[in-house]
Amino acid sequence: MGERFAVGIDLGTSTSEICVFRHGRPEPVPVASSKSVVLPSLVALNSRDELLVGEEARGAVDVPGRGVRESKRLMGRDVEIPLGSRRHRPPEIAAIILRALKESAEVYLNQPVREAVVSVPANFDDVAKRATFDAARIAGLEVQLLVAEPTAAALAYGLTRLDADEQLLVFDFGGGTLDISILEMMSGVIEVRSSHGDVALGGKDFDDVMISLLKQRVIQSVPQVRLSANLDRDLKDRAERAKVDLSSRTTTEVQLRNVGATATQQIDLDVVVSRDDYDRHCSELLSRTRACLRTALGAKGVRPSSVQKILLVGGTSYIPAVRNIIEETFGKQGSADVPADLAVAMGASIRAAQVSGLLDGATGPVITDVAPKGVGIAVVEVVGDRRMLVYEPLIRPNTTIPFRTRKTYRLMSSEQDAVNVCVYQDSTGRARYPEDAVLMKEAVITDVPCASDGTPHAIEVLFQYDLNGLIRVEGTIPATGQTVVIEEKANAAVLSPEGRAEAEKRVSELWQSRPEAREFRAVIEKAERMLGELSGTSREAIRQAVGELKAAIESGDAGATRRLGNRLVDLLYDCEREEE
Amino acid sequence: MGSDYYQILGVASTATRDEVRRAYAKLVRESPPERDAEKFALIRKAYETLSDEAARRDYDALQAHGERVSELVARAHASMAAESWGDAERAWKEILVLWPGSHAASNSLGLCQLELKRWADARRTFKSLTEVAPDVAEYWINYGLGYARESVAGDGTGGIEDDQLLIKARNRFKVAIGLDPRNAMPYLHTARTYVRQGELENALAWFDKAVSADGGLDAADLDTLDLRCAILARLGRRDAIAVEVRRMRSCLPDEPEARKYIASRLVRLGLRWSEARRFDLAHWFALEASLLDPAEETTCDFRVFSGRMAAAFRDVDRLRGDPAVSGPLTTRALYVLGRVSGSIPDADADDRASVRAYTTALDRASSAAIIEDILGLRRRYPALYDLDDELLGHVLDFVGRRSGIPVPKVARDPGRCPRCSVFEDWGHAHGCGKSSRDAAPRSSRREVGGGATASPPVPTPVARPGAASPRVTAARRRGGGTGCLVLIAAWIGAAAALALVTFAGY
Repeated sequence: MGERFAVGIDLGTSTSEICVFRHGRPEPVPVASSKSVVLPSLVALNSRDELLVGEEARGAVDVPGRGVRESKRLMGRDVEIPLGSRRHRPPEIAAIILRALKESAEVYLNQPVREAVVSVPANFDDVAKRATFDAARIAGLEVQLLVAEPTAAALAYGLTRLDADEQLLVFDFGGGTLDISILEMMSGVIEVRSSHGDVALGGKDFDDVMISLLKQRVIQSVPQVRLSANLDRDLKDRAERAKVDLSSRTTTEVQLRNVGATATQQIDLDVVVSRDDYDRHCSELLSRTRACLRTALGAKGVRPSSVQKILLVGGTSYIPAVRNIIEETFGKQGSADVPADLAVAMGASIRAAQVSGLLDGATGPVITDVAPKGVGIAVVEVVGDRRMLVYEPLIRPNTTIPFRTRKTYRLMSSEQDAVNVCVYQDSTGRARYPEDAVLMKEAVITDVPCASDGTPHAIEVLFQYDLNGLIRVEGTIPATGQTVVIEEKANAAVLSPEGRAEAEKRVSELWQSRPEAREFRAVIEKAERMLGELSGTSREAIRQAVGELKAAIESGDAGATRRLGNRLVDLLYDCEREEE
Repeated sequence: MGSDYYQILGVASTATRDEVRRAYAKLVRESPPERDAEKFALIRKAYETLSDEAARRDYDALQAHGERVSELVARAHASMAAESWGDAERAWKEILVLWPGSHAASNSLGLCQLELKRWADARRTFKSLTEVAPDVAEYWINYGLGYARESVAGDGTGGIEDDQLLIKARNRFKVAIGLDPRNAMPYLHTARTYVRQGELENALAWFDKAVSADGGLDAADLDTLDLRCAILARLGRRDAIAVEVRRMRSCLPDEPEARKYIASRLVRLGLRWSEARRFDLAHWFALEASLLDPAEETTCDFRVFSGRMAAAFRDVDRLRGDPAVSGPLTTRALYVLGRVSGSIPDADADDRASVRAYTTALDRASSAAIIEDILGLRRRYPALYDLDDELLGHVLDFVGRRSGIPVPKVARDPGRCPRCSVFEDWGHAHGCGKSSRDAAPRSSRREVGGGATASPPVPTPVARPGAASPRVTAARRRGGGTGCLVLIAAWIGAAAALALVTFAGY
């Protein structure tokens, strides 16, 4: 095999990227189907029921029931996404995008890619993280580690700045989420101190504002208009482009075709939107952004002036009004030291290099991350004069991971025969009662025998955050040896092994319908026809090449398909020549 | 020590924060979290402790004096358990000298000072504690108690100084409420400050906030509802008490045991009023209790007793200044009432003196006047007459025989319930079954004389014949009101025992 490498993937709401770490640095990988290193996170079927991914899906993605945008927002949710005649789980859609990225890297490296570090929003919940693991497995990838997106971005920045001693803020405003992390860099160690985010605020929301603004303009110009039924979806693409346009210009013109009709005619309209106008309409989103930033700074009592560097990451951070918020708050501009749309994937590949041992503390930076959410259980405590169920924090928010702690409690009476361990998450650090926190999971230890000596049994609870930021909670009654792992609250969004096998089958069938997979079909047909007429060595060579190509197509290995396809073309070409 | 944080990081105990950081960074680069999680956790713990000023101080203190501190903590707890507050205070002080950062120790020290009634010291302790730990509701509550208790501990005259203390206390409780709105304690304490100032309506409202602090009604709210009842009784709001009783019932599941338990609590409340000789209020609670638990004999007896006493007190009010009844008779009646209600101490000498004064007065009066007097008392003040009926009956008989004046037979109306007769305004609430103003027959409790044969046949639960009545009559034979005193004693004992039994049941 060739030289060692490591792979990192940024699986984003609007765009996804893959980077390869080799020769001591991350390289963005161009997506096989285009020249760009950015793959739009779009999946669609064309009219021939062929699977399209990325840029090529843009034209078809908004046809109802035949395309999926922003599927990341559905990760970890128990929903089904219709695509053509089938329905898919969110991890399957993510798997299609991952597979496209994986194959691009395989073509780029001319080597198979089997494992990668995948980035997720810092505030992704456990179920969504598990869905990400599912997606990778369906795509034939092993997740080496999940890395928080802002953490990855910081790593991309810190890779070449081992001597930096500064406080850093990563403002990661992507298509679906806003994550703000505060980090400290010292002597080659990058320490995430806190991470705060809004999981439901992203570029998509800014697109929605543009859509409603455009619609409003149409109604203003032609008050008697009946808007066309699918207008929101039709406008989606143009709205996004207008938004991007306003990042570099103060006005943009949007050509709207067939947005609706009056009694007499169809409406086509050219609309001019100014940046000021757009900003005004975004004011609610902008104030949420401001609030999020305030909370993030408040979490560790960080003064804006003590932040030396602000990294802007994610497409939404290009919006001028968002940049203004940064400037207002910090009195300086965000840094462009790392490319906003590639930093996360680059960082993920650096993390992959660290995990695979390509990079260590002697050759590069070391990073430590936190779990933004605190974890605790509900226990009975005397509050004032009464027993109440209170939230007992065991892991504070923004605790450096991996982390484990155990604590021993007593059951309430020696006759108690069951205990219910309820695990809660708290991102404020101020939860006092279970009602202030979010119930994550619960488990019951039943059939606890009576304590013979009249002293209630002790129950030991173990809490653990692993490097992926996944929580594991275990309750043990040492006296009886009973242990229970507190599982996910019964959640249908996590795939069972059978569910995953079915999902793999569905995705693999879908993958067969990619246009690339059909690319050599005509050549194969021609070759099979020729086999009857040929004889000798060339016949054998062609027969073998056809078999191998078919196998490659079957396995969905794009790199091999292309290589073997081209070989078959060469063989057939030479054959024809000889015959002439 | 193997887990010495300084050793783990390889720094001197005098290392600056920056040296600690650098040492940590060097170690983490050697053992990043993805390589060796255990080792990283150790390094991290050491770093987090030594890089945080307060945590490092605590760590240093416990490293140096850990053994002595844990010894002292054990001793302090033992002293507190034995209520040797002075010893406990000294122990906590020494702990704080060795380990100044301990909030728990400061809090305990303040609690000891509260117990020692050294208000200013306690307040100083809690003041500095709430400065360093401003978000712990408990500390603010204790701080407030430093003011509230001084007021309560004062000479009770109140006044402006007292008001000032109570206002300051309330301000502290308010902070606690802001921090932990579901803790009932600061609401309760606030309510008590209003009780102390005689602002009962305010107190009621705050007790109510205490009840709803943690959301709904539950068993823990019963004590607070008791307090509300007590205030409502003081305000004379009979109807509101019935509402409170309904709330008490909704604190517990609607089961016979729970109803019995609440009835026993109500009896206890009633007993407190009867100790304060407010038999009218005691009777309210007795009535509510027997509505909840009609089968319980002790409850029923208490209701009868408190009703009789309430009626007797009402009679006394009317009797004073009634010219139709003679002076000695009034004296005697008041005396007996005083004895029965406990406001005159039990002293046989007094009793004899009172009888002597009475008989002397009788000697001087004409037989006709005496008979008229006693009959008038019996007619118009039956409750009072009842308390002393044996003596008065004898006098009536004797004087009648001596003078030859015919005296109407002192016989009870056979259809009249001897229990209800004296508190007719309550109706036959104890359930004797007689049709009265609230005619709903409940259960026939007891056969009295021959007359009760007319009771409707709803004898559930069948009372043991003469279980309580003989006790009353037997006692009464020993003379006048002392019988009733015995009854009270029996009452208090029985009800308290009942309360204990049911309490243990929960």
